[in-house]
Amino acid sequence: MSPSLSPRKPVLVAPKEAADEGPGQNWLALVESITRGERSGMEELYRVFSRGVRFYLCRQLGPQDLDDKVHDTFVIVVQAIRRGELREPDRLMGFVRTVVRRQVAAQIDRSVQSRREQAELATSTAVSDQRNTPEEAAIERQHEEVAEAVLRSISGRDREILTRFYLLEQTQEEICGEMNLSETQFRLLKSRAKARFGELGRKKLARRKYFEK
Amino acid sequence: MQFDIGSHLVEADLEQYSMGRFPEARLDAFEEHLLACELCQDRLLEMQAYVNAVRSVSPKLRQSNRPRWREQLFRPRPTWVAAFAMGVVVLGLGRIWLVAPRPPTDFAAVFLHSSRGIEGLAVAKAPAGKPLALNIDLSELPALPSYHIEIVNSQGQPVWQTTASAHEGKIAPKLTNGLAGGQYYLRLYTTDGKLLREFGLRIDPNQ
Repeated sequence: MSPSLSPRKPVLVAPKEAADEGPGQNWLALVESITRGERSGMEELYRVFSRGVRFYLCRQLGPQDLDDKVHDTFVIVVQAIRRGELREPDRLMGFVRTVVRRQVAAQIDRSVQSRREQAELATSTAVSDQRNTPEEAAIERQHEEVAEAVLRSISGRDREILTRFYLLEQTQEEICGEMNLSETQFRLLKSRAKARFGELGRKKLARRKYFEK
Repeated sequence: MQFDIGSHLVEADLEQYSMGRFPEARLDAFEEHLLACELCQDRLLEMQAYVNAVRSVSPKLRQSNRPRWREQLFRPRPTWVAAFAMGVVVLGLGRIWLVAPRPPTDFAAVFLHSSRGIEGLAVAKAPAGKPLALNIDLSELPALPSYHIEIVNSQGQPVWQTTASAHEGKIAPKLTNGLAGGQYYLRLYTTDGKLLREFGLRIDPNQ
């Protein structure tokens, strides 16, 4: 079973299932199943959201204790559903996101508080080493090599345009105005450079890591 | 069982999100889809890697372009050219020195976004001892006219602080003296002292 990615990516489903229930109806079925305490409902919830929750938490908080944070999030979601706190089942995605965001905010508060307490206790407190691991450093270096190859392969003017956009954060309007570009030229330049980066780097990109189980 | 998770995210939105410039008003729908769509998660990862890599490499390429014109300007010439040039320079120096604008300081741009941690790519890094142009993303934070910013070292001791105004969802204070190598944390407060967010900042002495 797989979540539908409508409308661009069709998902193969059994005709009877597709005829009986629309995708929106299935959020309701899933929530009801969880409310009844059925194992299959919780498995389905985990299947649909586990990677996304890991992804979001890792993106916001880093990989430390990620498994525990993901577990805590699912416990909170399931308990809330069972208590009937999710009144509109088709808003399940939004509900999960709200829980994840609260988890992130709470974790940040805890980290700040803990660091403050440590600083008050000792002047030479040990802190975790936040440098990249050798593997992370290698991946980062590879990305930079690919980006450098892409940037060196284009003209100085095109490079300046990308630098203004990504590094100096000038808006499209500012760049087009100052460098006498049409919006189409600007978009094309960006998308070609990005496509080239993807093409050169695809084999090197280690796309699945901490948030992947 | 299939679920309606909406349409895939468009490239421009992924780009804006990666750069911390995604409009708050559309964030709910964007992140809800992202939570349930593996394909878009992978596309976002690739976009994030691209944006970070371009940001890392661009300053280096810009700097590597500079020596070429400097070499042209200062390459050895016959002695009489040097003498003539020196005379012109000496005559003009007194006038020019007082009225000419100083060259802009070469700041290292540091982007501090709420997101971090994927493969270490989104960790804010900066070179040691170099003036820093901070760029602090305010998305998901209360919109205020100004914010108090404090940088503490790894032991929690404040090393720098300022108050800065927000502009287009960002604040961009500058540290003209830079920081020594080490791990720092930048804390963002309301002007009455309520902590809003903390960002990690690694200053690399070897960069």
